Amino acid sequence: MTEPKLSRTRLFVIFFFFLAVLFCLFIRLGFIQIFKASSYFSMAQNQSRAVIEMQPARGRIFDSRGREMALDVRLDSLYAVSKEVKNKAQVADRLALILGMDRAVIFERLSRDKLFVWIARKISPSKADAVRKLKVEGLSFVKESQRVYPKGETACHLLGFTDIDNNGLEGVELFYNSFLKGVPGWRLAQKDAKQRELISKQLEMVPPADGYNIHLTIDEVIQSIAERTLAETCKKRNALGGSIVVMDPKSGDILAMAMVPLYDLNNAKRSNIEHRRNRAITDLFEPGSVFKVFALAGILQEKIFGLEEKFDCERGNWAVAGKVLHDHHGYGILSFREVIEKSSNIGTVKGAMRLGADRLYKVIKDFGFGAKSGIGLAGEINGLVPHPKNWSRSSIINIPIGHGVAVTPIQLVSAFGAIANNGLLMKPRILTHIDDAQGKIVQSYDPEPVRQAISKEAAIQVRTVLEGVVSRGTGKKAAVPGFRAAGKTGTAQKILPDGTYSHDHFWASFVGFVPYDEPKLVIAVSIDEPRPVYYGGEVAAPAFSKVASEILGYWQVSQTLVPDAVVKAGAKTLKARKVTPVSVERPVARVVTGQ
Amino acid sequence: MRRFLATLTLVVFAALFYVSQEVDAVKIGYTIRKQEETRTLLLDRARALKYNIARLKAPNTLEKRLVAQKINLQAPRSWQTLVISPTSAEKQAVTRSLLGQGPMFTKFLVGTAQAEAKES
Repeated sequence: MTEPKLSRTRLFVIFFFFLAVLFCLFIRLGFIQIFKASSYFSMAQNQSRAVIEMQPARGRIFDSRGREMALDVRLDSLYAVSKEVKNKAQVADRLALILGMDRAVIFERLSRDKLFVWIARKISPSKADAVRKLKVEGLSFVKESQRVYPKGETACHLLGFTDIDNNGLEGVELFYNSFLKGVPGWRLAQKDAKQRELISKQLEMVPPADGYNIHLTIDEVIQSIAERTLAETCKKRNALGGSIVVMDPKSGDILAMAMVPLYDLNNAKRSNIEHRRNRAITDLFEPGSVFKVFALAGILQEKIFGLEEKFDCERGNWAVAGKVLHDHHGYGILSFREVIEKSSNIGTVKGAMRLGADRLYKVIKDFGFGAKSGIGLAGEINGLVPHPKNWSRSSIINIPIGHGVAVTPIQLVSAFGAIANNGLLMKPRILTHIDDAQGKIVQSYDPEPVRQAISKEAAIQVRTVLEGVVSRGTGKKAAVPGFRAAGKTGTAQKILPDGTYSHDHFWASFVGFVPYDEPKLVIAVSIDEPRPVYYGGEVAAPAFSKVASEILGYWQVSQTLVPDAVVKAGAKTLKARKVTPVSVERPVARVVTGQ
Repeated sequence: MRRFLATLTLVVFAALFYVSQEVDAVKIGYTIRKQEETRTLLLDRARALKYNIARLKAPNTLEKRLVAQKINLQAPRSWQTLVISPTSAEKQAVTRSLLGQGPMFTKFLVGTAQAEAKES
């Protein structure tokens, strides 16, 4: 066999063929490298690099004793890469069963021609596990923060809530959203073929800044006491709703801000919008007799007359300024102290007339009415205190007895706080401080005096009268066992839409403080439309007594008075056992622990 | 030629070493990522537990439970507690009952707790 011999020409042809191919390849490569480099480079980067957003943790909200009122938990959110999901109808059936969602909605989402589509966000761990067990290709999870409120309904109107993207919508969550929210971070990461992140090839990172924590002045236990008592009162008195605000008069700290009806913060979207209103700062009402205290304060501040000045209360009917003023009971001659204790409209108006419109207006304004208290919550309103220039002929009759003016519960509690605090009006405080995750204080909110509303001497005199209201006057049901309490009842007719006063719809209120000697608590109770009993002394005063009694018990404040029943019972026991008591007498009120 | 081969070998080994280090770094990266995921998972669980504890400790929850179980609890007030000083006879009776001892003559008949302890 002879080997085939390739001719020189054929060899050249083959050689040049390969050379031409190589040349073409070289040209192509050059073209790619020179002209297409940037587009291929970006394609490669898109495949291997990813910007991963890092969500910050929303700040937590604590009560005054460091108990968590709002925090974040991370839950799974289910999404689909719809192109990868096979047998969409069957998957939709199964998901609908597990998630409790409409099957048509799920099917529609799965059918979208998109790379990423949410199926359900922030689902419970049990549901997430059930979906995982299905092992459906194209379904994946991503972790998202969910705001949760461990106390449920407690302080719901104050705390507020967030939307699905963790933006505050109401209350503290809304007002302090910029502090709570934090700043998202991101990292540019290299990924492998399986789309796993190569941590060793991390390219760039801006870490997220977590939200700051907020520390409230609210005490969870006091808040619960106020809410429970208010709910019981509203139920017992068939009321539409109401509010109880508890304040420390020395610092202006709001210890509780309770409203009824309540709603569950963890299911806030299902609640009635009307129920979400923070009545303590948004509800205006005519305060009624509670407001007589400020006419009294003005009279004592301006030294118009003393508490023992006598007034003829006209047996309950007095024609003045073209109208007839009535008292609930007909009284004859009363001292001004008795006028307030018995809540005589006629006596109060006669006293206020001697004070005069301008001075009455000044003292009302000095107590903070007609202006926002500056508590730092969204939706607070000014109230309504007309200037004497705009007063009608009957204003000097209406305003001293709490008509023709409109106030909010927070204004009332602050003003009574000033009386309890020797005339010094404090700005109501809802936050003590804001700190970061390491506990470093970012912003501090110190107690802030607003002004000396009345002199210390005048405030002490007003307090003695208010003590008489509880011990002898219309507020007997506000008495707190073991303590001397002080306060004022109020019953005000509501204004109908046509501008006239209703004879069936009332606001019942009681505002007071306890212990009388050294006030530690100021409590304002306002009940909206109680039926059939509507007097402040009957409806709101018992709620004051109950709340005050439980809070003082919680604080373990030693009592100034030993109730008679206890003294008798104690003496009987000792006599029967023939033992001598170590100590039955109690010292002057003092805080043993807490506060 | 020898020098060339030696250099080539050195370069090859250096390259292999570099590659193995790179591979190790990637592997450690995967491990770190896994550990981080575990840490996140545990932190999530801790948060959920914190939430549960706070929820269970909430006065509202406790009150509802007590009401459901018809248990009416009320904290005693300071004035509801009387501290009394017992007589000397009562003091002795209390001390004896606390020590589990009877009167003197019973000691003689029964023996003391100390003696019983020694026997055993």
